Amino acid sequence: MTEGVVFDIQHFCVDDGPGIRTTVFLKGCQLRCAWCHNPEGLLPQPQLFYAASSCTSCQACASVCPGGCHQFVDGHHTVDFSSCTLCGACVDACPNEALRVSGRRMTPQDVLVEVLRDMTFFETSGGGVTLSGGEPLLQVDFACAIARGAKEKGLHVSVETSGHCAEEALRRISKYVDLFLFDFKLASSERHKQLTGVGNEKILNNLALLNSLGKPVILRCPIIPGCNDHEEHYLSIASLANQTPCIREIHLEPYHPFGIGKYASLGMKARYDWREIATSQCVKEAAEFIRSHTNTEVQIT
Amino acid sequence: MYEYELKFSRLRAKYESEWEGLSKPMREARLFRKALELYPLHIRCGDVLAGWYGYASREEMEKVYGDVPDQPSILPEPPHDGKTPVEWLKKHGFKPGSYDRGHYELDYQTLLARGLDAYLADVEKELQNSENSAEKNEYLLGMRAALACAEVFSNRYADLAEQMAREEADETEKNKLLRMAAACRKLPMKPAEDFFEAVQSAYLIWSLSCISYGTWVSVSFGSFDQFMYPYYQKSKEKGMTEEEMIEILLQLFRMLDVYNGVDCVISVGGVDADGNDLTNELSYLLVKAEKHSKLRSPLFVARVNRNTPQKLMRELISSELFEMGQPSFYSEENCLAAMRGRGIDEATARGYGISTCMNPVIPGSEVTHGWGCMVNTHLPLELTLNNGRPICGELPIALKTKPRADYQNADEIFAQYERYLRELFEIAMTWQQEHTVRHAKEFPNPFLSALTNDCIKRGKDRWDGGAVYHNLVIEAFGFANTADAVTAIEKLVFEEKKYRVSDLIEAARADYEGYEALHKDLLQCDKYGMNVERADRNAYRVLSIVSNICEENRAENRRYLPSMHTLWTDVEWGAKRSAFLDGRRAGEPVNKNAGPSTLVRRVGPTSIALSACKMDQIRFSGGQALDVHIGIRNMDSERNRDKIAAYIQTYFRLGGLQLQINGLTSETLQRAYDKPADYPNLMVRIGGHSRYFNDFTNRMKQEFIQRFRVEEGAFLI
Ligand code: SF4
Ligand code: SF4
Repeated sequence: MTEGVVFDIQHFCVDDGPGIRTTVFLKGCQLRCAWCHNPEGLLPQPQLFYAASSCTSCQACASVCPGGCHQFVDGHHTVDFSSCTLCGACVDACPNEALRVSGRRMTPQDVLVEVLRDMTFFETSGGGVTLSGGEPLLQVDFACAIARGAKEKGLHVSVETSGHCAEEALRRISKYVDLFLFDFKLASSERHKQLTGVGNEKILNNLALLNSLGKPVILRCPIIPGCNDHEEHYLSIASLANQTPCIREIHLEPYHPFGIGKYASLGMKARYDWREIATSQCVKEAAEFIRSHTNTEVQIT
Repeated sequence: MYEYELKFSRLRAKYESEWEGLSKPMREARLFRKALELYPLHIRCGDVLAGWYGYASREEMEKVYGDVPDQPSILPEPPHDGKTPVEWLKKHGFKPGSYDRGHYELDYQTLLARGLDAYLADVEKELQNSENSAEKNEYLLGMRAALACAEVFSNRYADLAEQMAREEADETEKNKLLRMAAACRKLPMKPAEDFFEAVQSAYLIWSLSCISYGTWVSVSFGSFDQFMYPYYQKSKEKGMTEEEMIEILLQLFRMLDVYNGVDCVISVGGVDADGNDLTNELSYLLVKAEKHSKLRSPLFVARVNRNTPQKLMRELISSELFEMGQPSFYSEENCLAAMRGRGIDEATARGYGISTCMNPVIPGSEVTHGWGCMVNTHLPLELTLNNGRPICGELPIALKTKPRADYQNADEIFAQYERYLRELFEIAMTWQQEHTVRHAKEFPNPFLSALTNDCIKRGKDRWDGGAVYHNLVIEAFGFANTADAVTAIEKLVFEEKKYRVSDLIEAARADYEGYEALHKDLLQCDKYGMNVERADRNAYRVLSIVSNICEENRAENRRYLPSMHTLWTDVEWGAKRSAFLDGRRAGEPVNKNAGPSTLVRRVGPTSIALSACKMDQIRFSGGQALDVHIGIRNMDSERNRDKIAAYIQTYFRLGGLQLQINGLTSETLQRAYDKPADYPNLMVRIGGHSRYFNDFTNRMKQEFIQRFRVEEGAFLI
């Protein structure tokens, strides 16, 4: 069976679709959003994750690592991520849970077993499963298999996508999907390219595809201070919703930088040190403004 | 510096000589009268209800006590040599409670309708019974004396209010004082007639009951929106406005906050005998007042049934209340089932009320020892696996159960475990019973007994066989750790044969120092709370053994109510215990309430709820709060609130009894930990209580933050 790489499964999620949901995070994304606060989702393969705050510099990891990835200089622990072969020896050796492998290969069946544990809660709340990421549609076979399996069990299925994926992938999965949570970050393609690494043409085409398929969409709009927290952008959100009947709701997501520390844990570098929080006041005003330009429902998550 | 504690022991020492030769019940009635006569009373500017007392300067209180020094207030316990069976048990955290002056709830519905005069008449009538023994008559006379002096207290308020009214220039204030004075002339001896009178009377009775034991802790009102409703309707018809009612309620809440603090329950909701939901206008009014008050007290309880209106749920699931650590949710259906399980008839069971942070009770008919016995559930496992001895420390007593070894499976372990637990439980309870009776005979409470069914008829103290139901709550401490230890043994010893039981014991004795690999293996075993079959089944078995033993020891009116309550003592209690066999190191906390052990990693609100529901919760009518952490960013969203409601309803539908939801995030707690001064009002809820975060020790705060992190993350990988 197709395997996929999953970096987290979270239970009792409330912002990813109707009811109580379990959200499965698939690893890998082609976008490189400057503000991204979930770097675990970026690379498609599993990675070593080192939480410096839990490390006591006991050096147990160094003694087992075949590649000499763990170095200690004056008791200070540095990790050479590039030489790591992910053998897992140091993870087992660490007594303080400071090391783990982010990303696990799983079969769709493994994922479904974990998801279906909360079946009772789905039934009583009208919830289900949400595939998120990363970009879940990069692992389309895997994602389709989970979605199909979930549908067979009668679950409500949502997919959260950046929209930057093959049209075919979207077409294939859409038969099993009740709701798409579709990101909309910036209206100008040029600016989009600057800040995420890719233009937005493909994304907007894919949104049009979902519209032609008649699939319900929630437009997810991160509000990022100093980036898109202005009326011009709010207007473009409203007009996109007005032109695209499949958009049932607009969800505004106040940006928070809490995951920024994870970059260092993965041996990666944040593109920007984006630390400003979108205040609830600012997001409330944004919601009011958008409401005055569209009849589509606007919610803050 | 104010002092509002009533030091009975000092009053007793000062006046004792006057009461020489009196019977004990009469002596206690005199002591009660002294307190009611001497206690400084206050009515503050703007008050609508009479009810402040004590709260005087130290000098003023010294006048009451004279120069008599503070005295030890409870009956001294037998000498501690650590060698008697009970002393040995206590050393291991297996602690029978000595005496409980709280954890009761009176029958306010009847009290308000009849007034205390009617109870006096009952006593008079019982005194006419020619078949009474001398001892019974002696007790009845004590009751008569105690009931009669209630009036002394309320009349003093009436005098004070009248005097203040004479000096008051403002017409509105004057009228309030006069209303108060008139009510206090009449109440609580006569029946209450409207909302104001009913609240005033209920509060006076509540205060009198607290004064009669000299403690305010764990004394509840229960189904306030039900027993007050007729009075509410009457006053509403007569034109009392919502604002006036809220003003009355707010003062009640303020006084409860000062005297009681954290555990006086006022509940809303419920069902009638036909299963109809009982939410009424007063329920909503109470929620409104509670949101307004921003106080810890009362402990707000919602009795949720499957027909609880969505409107009420949406009102209750609000960030305003959640930030105050309120409310506590109870399942109506499961509480009723739990009461039936105690062997109580249907009609009586339906009259149950929620008491303190703990459990359902029959108002006015029971005595409850809230900490009847803290059971160290791990100790019998140690005896089972370590040849009849604890892992650490001596065994200075001889146990009857014959040690055995060479277990092949969990069934054999549990069979032996049950024998040991039974033996330890009986040692603890024999001591407990003797101690309670000794205490009840030496320090009877004729006032509170007169208000407890059937003490008048029996002419007995409530703790001495007078009450219809005599309950002892039996707390199963560390049940999750104990179960996890068995799960680990099943996997590592019986299946994988990686270790022997003796290896685990040796490692635990060394507190896992030098046994890092073994310790890590233990941590990686499945645990209760992960919603994994085997781990949950073992928890079920530990708890079943506890409840079997409780149920088989029932005698006459005496019941042992199993419970998973630890409140916040999981940290304190754990701090004194040596290492457990599940990998818990010495001094670490044990599992909190019905929740998982602190060693568990892969858990979230859904897995915790699903695991907890597999326990036979309705047998645990001593109560078992489940604390879960739900970090929802936007609580204003009605949809999100409905999702929390669905979560609560699902937990209850699956058999859950009580649920506490912390809406806080670990980030907030961390900030509060770093800068306590910035968060003076931050409250967390725990096992039926709300407490200020800053009231906890750093150790406990850290444990909270850790717990929140684990559950928020809910990591699979
Ligand atoms: S996973 Fe293996 S190669 Fe990578 S750091 Fe750890 S021990 Fe070294
Ligand atoms: S084994 Fe763990 S705690 Fe020890 S030095 Fe390595 S990462 Fe740090």
